[in-house]
Amino acid sequence: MNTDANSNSFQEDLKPNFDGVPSQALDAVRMRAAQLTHSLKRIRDELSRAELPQWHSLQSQVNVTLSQLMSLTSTLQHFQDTLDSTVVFPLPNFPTTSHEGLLTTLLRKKYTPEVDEWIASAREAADLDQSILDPQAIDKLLKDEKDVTEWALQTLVKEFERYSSGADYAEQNSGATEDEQMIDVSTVNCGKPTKPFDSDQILKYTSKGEIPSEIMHEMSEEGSVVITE
Amino acid sequence: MVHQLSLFGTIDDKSYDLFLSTMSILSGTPPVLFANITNVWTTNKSYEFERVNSKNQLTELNRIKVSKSLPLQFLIVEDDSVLSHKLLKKIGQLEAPIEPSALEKYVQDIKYERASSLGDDSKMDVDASSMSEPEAEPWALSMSDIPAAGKSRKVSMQTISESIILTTGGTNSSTSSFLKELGYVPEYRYITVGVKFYMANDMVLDIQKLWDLRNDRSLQITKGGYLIKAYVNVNRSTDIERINQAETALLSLQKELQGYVDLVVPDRKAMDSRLNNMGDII
Repeated sequence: MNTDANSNSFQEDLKPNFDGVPSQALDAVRMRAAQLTHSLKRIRDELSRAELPQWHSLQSQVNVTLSQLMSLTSTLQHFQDTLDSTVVFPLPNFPTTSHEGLLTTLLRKKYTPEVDEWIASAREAADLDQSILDPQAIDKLLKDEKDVTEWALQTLVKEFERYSSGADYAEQNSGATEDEQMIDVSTVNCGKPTKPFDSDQILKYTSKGEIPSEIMHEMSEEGSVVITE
Repeated sequence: MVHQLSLFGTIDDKSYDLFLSTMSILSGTPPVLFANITNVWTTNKSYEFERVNSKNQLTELNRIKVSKSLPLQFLIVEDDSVLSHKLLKKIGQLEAPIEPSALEKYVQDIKYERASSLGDDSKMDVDASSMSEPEAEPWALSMSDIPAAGKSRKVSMQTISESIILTTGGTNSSTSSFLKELGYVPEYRYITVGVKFYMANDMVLDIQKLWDLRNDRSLQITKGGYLIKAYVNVNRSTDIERINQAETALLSLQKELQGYVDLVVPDRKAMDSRLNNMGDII
């Protein structure tokens, strides 16, 4: 009893100081990581189904996931200094026996083998030979790549705008002023088109040569054509 | 032999601009202006045709369409306007898309001296010598069957046989003299001017106006509007997969335009180019 009380009081006496814990940074990272894992899990589940989802819903999901990934990386970058200088250590009252796995994960400083593999494959994919290049050259290469990506993005956006505003179509009006290119609303029917004639009548003309009676009638009224049967 | 799946619709003159904008955004391609001249030949009434073939099967008489594309510079163009989709809107108001004299001149340009003795109809001659002239386009000769029957059809399906005439053989030969020997006489001719959109799945959308050319004067058949034709050509009628795909493509366009322009299956009798002078047998 005594010893128990003693050890309790010993543990209670030791009031750990939590001031140094970067809780804001950790919380932000945790939240974004949780979102990301959730979305990734959903995509994986959808893809493993027998029937693939509609392409547009899949695309929007991937878009969401990508933006979550972006926000995670930017958060990590934002708190990089804090997180780099943070060291984890267990408190004496940590239940080491029951939570050994968690403890070793938290205390591990080396990457797990699979993470090492990911990094290696990413380096290989980036086509960077670290043994030859010095860090500055790598930075330069990365910057070049970023520039190309930026250019491609800008070009894409420009072309897309051109396409959606119908500039290709408007190009045919070269020489026309801006006003002329615009559809003149006053003379244009912006509602549902009316049917000026029956398409069957026109087809009857093209296949049999029968001129629609209305037009024939108009002609004979003008007196310009004499209908002879 | 080509299998053509099609849907038709109409719009009025005032809806042209908006419809063109709609279609160019929908298809992602700009409109392409085109002009065609078509001569339709019918059987010579002074001949008596046997209605059975060598196997004693009943045969149908059919009109023959002979058509070619018309160079766009022959269209009536105001000096400052460009050859574009805008042009169709302008000439759409006219009674004739091309000056009769210009047509005559154009027709005469491709006429050969030896053909002049054959009379007026020999204007549509083609032969090897004409091919050397850059503006001389070959004539295409086509015959079409009546569209497939069936009430539940969602698109019109028609078989068309077409060949391009590159040359005619023999002395004093011409397409018109050949057709005359075959027992055909010219019936009517018309000019089509329109714009085309090339869309996905080999679908083509034509927005066109038609002018009848008769007795040296022309008459607009599509007064006050435009004829819209959406079609897909399938090379073999046995290619069920392609036909189904084409039908789906047409139906999805129909669905997309639903409530704006209604594309419909035309009456198959309206597209029947056979000569029904048999009266009782149709």
